[in-house]
Amino acid sequence: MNVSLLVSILASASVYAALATAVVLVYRANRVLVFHLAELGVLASYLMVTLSGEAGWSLPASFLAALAVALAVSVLVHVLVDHWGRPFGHFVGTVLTIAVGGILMGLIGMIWSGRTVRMILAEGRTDVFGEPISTNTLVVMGLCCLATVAVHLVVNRSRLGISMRAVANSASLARHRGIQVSRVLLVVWLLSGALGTIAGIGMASLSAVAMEGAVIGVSAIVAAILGGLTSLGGAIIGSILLAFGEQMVIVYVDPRYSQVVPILVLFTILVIRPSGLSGRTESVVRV
Amino acid sequence: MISTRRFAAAAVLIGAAIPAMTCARAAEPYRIGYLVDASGPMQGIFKTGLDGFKLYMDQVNAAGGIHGRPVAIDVRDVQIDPGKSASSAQELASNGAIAIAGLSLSSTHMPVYNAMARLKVPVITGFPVNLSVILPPKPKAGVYGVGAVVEILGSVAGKMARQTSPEGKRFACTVFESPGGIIACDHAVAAAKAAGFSSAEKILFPVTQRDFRPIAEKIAQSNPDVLLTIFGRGRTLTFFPAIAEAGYRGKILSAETGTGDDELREAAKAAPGIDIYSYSRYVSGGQGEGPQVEALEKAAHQAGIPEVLAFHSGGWIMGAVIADALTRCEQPCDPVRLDAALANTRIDGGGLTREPIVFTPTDHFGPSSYELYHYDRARDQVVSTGHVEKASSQLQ
Amino acid sequence: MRTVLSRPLSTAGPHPPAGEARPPSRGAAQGDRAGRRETGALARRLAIGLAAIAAVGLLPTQGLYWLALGNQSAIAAISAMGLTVLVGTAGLLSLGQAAFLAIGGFTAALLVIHMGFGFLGAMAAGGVVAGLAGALVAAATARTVGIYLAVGTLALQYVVEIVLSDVEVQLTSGMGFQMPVAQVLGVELTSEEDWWYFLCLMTFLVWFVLRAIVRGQPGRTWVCMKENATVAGSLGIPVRRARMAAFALSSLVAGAVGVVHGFYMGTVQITNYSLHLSIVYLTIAVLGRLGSIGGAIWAAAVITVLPQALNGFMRALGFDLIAFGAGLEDVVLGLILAMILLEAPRRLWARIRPGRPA
Repeated sequence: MNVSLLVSILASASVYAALATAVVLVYRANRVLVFHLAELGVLASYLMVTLSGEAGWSLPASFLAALAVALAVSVLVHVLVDHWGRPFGHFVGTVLTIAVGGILMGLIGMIWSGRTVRMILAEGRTDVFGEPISTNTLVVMGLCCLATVAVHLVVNRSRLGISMRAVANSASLARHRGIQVSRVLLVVWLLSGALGTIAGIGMASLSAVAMEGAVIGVSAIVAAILGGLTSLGGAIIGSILLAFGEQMVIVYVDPRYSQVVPILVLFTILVIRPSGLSGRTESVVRV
Repeated sequence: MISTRRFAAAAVLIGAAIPAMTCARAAEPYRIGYLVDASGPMQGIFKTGLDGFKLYMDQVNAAGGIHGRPVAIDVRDVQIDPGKSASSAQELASNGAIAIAGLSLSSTHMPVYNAMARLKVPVITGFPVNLSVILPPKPKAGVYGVGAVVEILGSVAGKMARQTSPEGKRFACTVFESPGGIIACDHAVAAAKAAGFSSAEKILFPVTQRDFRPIAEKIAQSNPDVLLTIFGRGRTLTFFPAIAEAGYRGKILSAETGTGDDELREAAKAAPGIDIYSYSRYVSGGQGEGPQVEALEKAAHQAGIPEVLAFHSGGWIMGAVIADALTRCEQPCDPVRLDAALANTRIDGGGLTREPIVFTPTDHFGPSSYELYHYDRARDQVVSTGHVEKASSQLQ
Repeated sequence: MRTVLSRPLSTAGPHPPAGEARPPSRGAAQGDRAGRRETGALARRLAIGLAAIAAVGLLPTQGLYWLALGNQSAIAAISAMGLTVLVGTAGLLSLGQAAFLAIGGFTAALLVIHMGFGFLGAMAAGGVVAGLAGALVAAATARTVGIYLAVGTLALQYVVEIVLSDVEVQLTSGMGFQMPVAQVLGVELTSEEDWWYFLCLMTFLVWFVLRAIVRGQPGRTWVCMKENATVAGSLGIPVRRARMAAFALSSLVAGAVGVVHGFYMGTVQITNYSLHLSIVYLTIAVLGRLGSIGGAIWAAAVITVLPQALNGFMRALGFDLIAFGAGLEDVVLGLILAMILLEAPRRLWARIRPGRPA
């Protein structure tokens, strides 16, 4: 295996990791499995490429604008799931995110008519261990890693993170301790929206801005489940394993089966070890 | 709660009644139904074909119509949905359409053919993709095609590949995993071997694949002399740079079945170091010489279309075929008579394609010709090499 | 078990119906009111039945357009009825309904083309194979619950798509399986009208049977299981078997629908059975109220007719929606799903008419 393939795998892994972290973050907070983040990422990438291309904005400015829109959507989803949807439980919350994902895809189709556009964040090559690697790939990898690590630090080291873990553990107890649960949940959704944006833009930059970019949502969920769905570290490991598996299958077996890999992994986990690699048992009902 | 839902249900049903009520039977114009993907991901291909079709019919109507009657086109957006295609075709037929034209992706074709067969309404499928049911010796009744049958597209590729690389030994065909694509590649691989390539393989990838880096890696490793790509819009743009990135420096031959010259140029610019060819049944960009080429150029210019693509040409030719059949149709023209007229078609390509469009009762596709083009980096243009392959509709 | 039965079969609303809260001393008046409610309910049911019969008879007079829509609605309705029992009554969220349709359709195609099966035989076979597949899925996911199950069915959807796509390419050169004309007890279904009568009959039969099952022992078991599987288990209910039965039933219905769909369209191809279709069926089930079998029928009609209605409205208003059709439809479907999940109509109604129980 050469350096270029390894970098490619790590870049994909970093995108999955960002998205999987978002999935775990939300799941821990309110047991909702988010199905709309990849679509949100696609929306952000379309916005960014339109602003930086046709409208002539600079890359950072268009990124910030896209991020702002994604965060606004996340606020809406928070209201939808945590306020209006609260009486109905996390089950309904999950299906609500499926609905949101569908709405986002519909809007994207209406506005951009399903076209495919390239979006390169950085031109040129960089030397890595003697091989010229596309700088763009390295930039994407760097951005996604940075975002993922930043969120991990927030959760594990900051006071906000402690509040988040408290809410994840037991919302009612947290409320008794004076933590404003609703505000914490809002932050969780905002963080997930930001991660989704960065992952979506990263993926779009690696391949292209296109509606098909939404398929990484399923891969991210699989990576999260592989890692145990409640473990942030597990999400990262799951992402690396998944990216590895997918690309190795493409290069050394047959590209046709690249989409089968996450599915097979998922099936295997669900049948053998639903609690995932980290082994933290959820409410796995044995009957 | 129930009441609000029932109200909403009633509103929806009334809304659906409106198209049935407002589409009154107009005895005057010839009504042609057109099914298209106008709002989905493939609209760049199919809607462009509709544009070409409309340009031709506008020209016909401007000259007074056919037998004094104008031609009216009823368009339905079916996206790539087989169910919608079938029911839209039925809606159009029951509103007076005497033929259905266009159609979107190949998966939507058979349901439409079956539905229209029950009503005896002829269907003319456009460019790019046609199913092999229209080939001799026993084509499906009432179904005709002016596009490209994937089996033939594939076999022609083998010879084209040899033309681009006279000494080449290794051939590879890459396409997304759709039945049409797989068949095209199978035929291409067989034709390449027949044309003297010592190794010929096919590399398939999932339909939704957009991240081509690992696949490009894989292909670059096997390093074929000629790589045949059968993509549509979008994939070409992302695949070419990826494979250039992976270090490939051979020749790429792109089958024109949904790419478009504009995207080919953009993709080629992002893939330096690779020699890029394409082959197509219909010309684009005003290439070719002949009365139809000029007429299409003029009409497109007047309509504000910046660049004539192969899909425009295909739509224009489909317009010509239908208009010609309407002219010869026994009066009063109805679907059955129109079908009889279509089954004896002979239209000159007028420069848009080198072989005439010929339908007979035992052959609803006819001979077809394909021209080889080369991307000239210096002039940033797709230029004809002059090489033309003619293919009969008989499958080997 | 009476209390369980009389609770509304929806995903929300833990409040008991108003009638149960009344003090017992109003016994006589309560009985009187109950009697009137029963007659009212009977009258309503009769009215619905008559309206349905009228619809069945009148639709063919409206032309091909409406017949085609009606037929597609009926097909969607049958599938949604099966799904609503699974998701609503048994509480098992499935995103793979289309996969079972595909399994049924492909089974039938192979049997019809290679072994000469007839329409009814193929429908039975397709249903059985799909039902077995459903039971297998239930067994494989026995150790998971809720969200995991949903994701598992999603995985199933993908796997079935990939595998059957391969089958299609290998066996049919990509054109799909061409199905012959359907024959039901000697009658050939050739026109839309023929199909309409057959589909109405099938819809009624499925409705009848599913209702009987849901009101019987299996249904009660499922409701118990949905409320709390652990408690149900401790009460002696064989939860694992109940899950398998629910899945098997729902996928059996789906398999049969897949066969019908294949014969109706004339072709069996994998592109007919996508994830989008699964989500549409789920939306129908939710719109018609999860667990309500009759609800699935009218909801199917609404959702099937919706794209045409949208187009029609817009065209009447003068907009050429042609470039927005696909996207707009997805947006509207998503909004419907979200709104129904949040019981938006009921809440809005309560706002408009305060004083009525929300």
